Amino acid sequence: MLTTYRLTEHHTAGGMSRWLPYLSELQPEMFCEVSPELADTAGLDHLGWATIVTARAAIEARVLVTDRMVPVRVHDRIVHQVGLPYHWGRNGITTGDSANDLTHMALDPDVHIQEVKALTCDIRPGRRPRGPDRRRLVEEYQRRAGISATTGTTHRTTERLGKSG
Amino acid sequence: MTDNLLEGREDPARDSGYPQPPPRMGFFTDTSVCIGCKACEVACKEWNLIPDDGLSLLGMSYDNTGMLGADTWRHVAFIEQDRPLGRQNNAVALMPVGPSSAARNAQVVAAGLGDQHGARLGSETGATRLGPSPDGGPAQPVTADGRTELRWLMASDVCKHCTHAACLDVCPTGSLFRTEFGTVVVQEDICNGCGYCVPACPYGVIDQRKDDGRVWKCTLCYDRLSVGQEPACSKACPTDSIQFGPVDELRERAAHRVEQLHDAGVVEARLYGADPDDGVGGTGAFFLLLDEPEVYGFPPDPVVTTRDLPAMWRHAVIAAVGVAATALAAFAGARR
Amino acid sequence: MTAGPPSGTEVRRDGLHRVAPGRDALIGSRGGRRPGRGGEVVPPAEFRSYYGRAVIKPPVWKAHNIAGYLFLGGAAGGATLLAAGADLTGRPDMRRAARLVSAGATGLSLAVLIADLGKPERFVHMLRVVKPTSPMSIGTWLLSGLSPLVAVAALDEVSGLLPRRWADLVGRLARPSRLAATAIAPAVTTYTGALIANTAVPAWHGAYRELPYLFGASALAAAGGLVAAASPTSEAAPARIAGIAGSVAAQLLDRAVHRRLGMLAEPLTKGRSGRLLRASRWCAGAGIALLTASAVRRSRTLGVAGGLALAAESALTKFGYFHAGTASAADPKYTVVPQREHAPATPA
Repeated sequence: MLTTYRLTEHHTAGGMSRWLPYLSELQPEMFCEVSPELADTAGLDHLGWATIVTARAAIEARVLVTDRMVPVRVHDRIVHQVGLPYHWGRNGITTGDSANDLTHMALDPDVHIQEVKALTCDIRPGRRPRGPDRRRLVEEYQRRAGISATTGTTHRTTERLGKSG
Repeated sequence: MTDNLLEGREDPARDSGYPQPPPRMGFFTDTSVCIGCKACEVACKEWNLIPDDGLSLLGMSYDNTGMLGADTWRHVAFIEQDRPLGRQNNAVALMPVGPSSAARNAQVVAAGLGDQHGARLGSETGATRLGPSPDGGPAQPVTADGRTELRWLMASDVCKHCTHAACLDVCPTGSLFRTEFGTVVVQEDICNGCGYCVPACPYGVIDQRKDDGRVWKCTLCYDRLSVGQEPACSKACPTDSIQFGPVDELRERAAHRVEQLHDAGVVEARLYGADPDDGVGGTGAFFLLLDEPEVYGFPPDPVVTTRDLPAMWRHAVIAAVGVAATALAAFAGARR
Repeated sequence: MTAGPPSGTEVRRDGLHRVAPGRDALIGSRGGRRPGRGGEVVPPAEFRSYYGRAVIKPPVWKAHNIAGYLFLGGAAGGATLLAAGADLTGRPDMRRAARLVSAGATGLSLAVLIADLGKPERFVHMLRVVKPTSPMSIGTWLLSGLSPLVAVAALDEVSGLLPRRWADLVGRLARPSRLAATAIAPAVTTYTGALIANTAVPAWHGAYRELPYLFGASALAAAGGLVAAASPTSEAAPARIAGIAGSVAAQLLDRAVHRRLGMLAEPLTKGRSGRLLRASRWCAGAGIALLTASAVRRSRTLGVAGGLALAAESALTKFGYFHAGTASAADPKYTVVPQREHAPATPA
């Protein structure tokens, strides 16, 4: 499960704050935060690289292992969380992959803004593939998960959403 | 204990020759309400036109600054610990699996950091630990898996503006001086880059800027104070974690705050630098901490090095006489 | 939630694969994990620090400049004393050697000190004030006083090369210069101990009682060695004695420092400092033996070798102490542990 959030040091997607040295030096790199449990399970090292893959894209980020990320129990399943700040992009003093590449085009059912707080993802150690391999990696995940271009495009009413959780 | 210092004891400005100084000004940094926004760091750099000091992800929680230096006059420390803050309840018990690892994180971080920001990290010592204080007892697991509550300590560090300032004492040019507010400031046109103040500071505050060789540190915004304004960092602090004012008044406020926190169940709250009888005669910028000073990167019992200088001079003079006497004896004992 | 290749559960359309052990553990069950905080990973706690970072700032001085100066300044001061003694006891060749060593070492001292400032013209700021609280200020004045005096003395030795008028002037100034230089020189050899001890650097400050003596003794070893190496064997006896005495005293004082420092002596015995100081001990032994042999056999070659060995001993000692100080400042252990022993009691 992936969630995104802001850091106090940057402003929205970082388009302005990534150009300011005083702010960029305080949060100089795209990172992902994981619990020690997930780091153990997925083989992630503190300050190492990780690749985060969703049905839409694969990005890379440095790993911060922290107790602040807590695995949660949903019914009888343990769900790990990956925390991603969404302040990075290709330009500025500090650059990095953008968390927005991962997010889906869905609206929050209550307030109808983009839903970026809970996405399913995979995390694996190491940097992401470059060039066409990056696309191939995502396609491999899509194939295994059975996701096609039409997945998620079916109109659902709020009643149905409410029922299915 | 400080009788033999060449500088005075209680009122540094008056003892430095200001006949009618304004009250001594300083900071009280109450770390219990610090939210780690780093506004103080940015405001300081903006006002004082300090260059950035490098883009490096340090992996020390959200601290990517490391420590105070020539280009960092405010530094926010972040410490993650495996215990609750006072009677706080994070509801961790309802969620998690697996043991907590704040202590292990510290180990991993220390091992992974290597040589960064000019400071050698203690991975060699194998004994670095950020965890809770031993006298606080072991962390109490709140789940069967052993996960504990978590607290995230944040503290904004700054130059302490000591009553007995080692940097000022050892400066051979008089570049470092005591202001009428009792603070310690570097005159950049006088500093000649000798670097003596850098290892003399018991807090590791003052540092040399590599490209120009001179040293820089917090001025407690001397320029702003002179026109009746408060320093940039305390002005920017949104939670009043950084409080600026006359040191006497701040000490009273701080003592009151400690009592308040003790009543609230935060028994570990303590003041650091507020005691005029400590090794540096008390500091103009002092702190309320929630753990032992070394956890925040402060020395536990700093002493101004010039306290021992009279003894050093005595030994140097006796040694010099000894050298002369030995040389004399060498000639007396030499046969032709 | 799925995990990457190494381990963990994979969630696929057709179900779970490679289910991680303990994945379905119920709250309240141990799930095979050890309770506690992963204590098997954390080594026993000795002290705590902020991510293992140094508490104080290590000196920013360059070793070849400042440790070099600790050696050169000592050699200069010691050689000035030996020059005066040689002059008074009628040893012209040794006097010439000692004066040239003293002037050369003083000149080099000033050069490395000014070089360490980065911008040489900033040196004049040192001469704004006289500050007894700053050994560097006092030292600057001592050295600034010594330099012209030993320069005059050295010029007096080579007055044959000077124009007549200059030679006369130098000749008249030689005696008062010599007296003044002799008065200043002993302090130049020992104040450097106070200079580095007057810092927060644990290994230096902890040894503030011994360092002036150690550096003074080491200065005599350096000066005695260099002058003995540069003088004819027949005249060099006082230099040999001073060098050997200085060397023996320095080695004894080095032991005393180790005893005084306790756990803070660790940086003196480990790593680069340990190697330098061990080498200095070997040099001391070799130098003493060679100089003694040169005295017995009247051998100039042995004298040169022994003298240089003693000078090397002094240089190695100074560099060893310099690096030990830096190492003790860079490791938070040496700041935190000793202070923790007498830190104020903390609540709860």
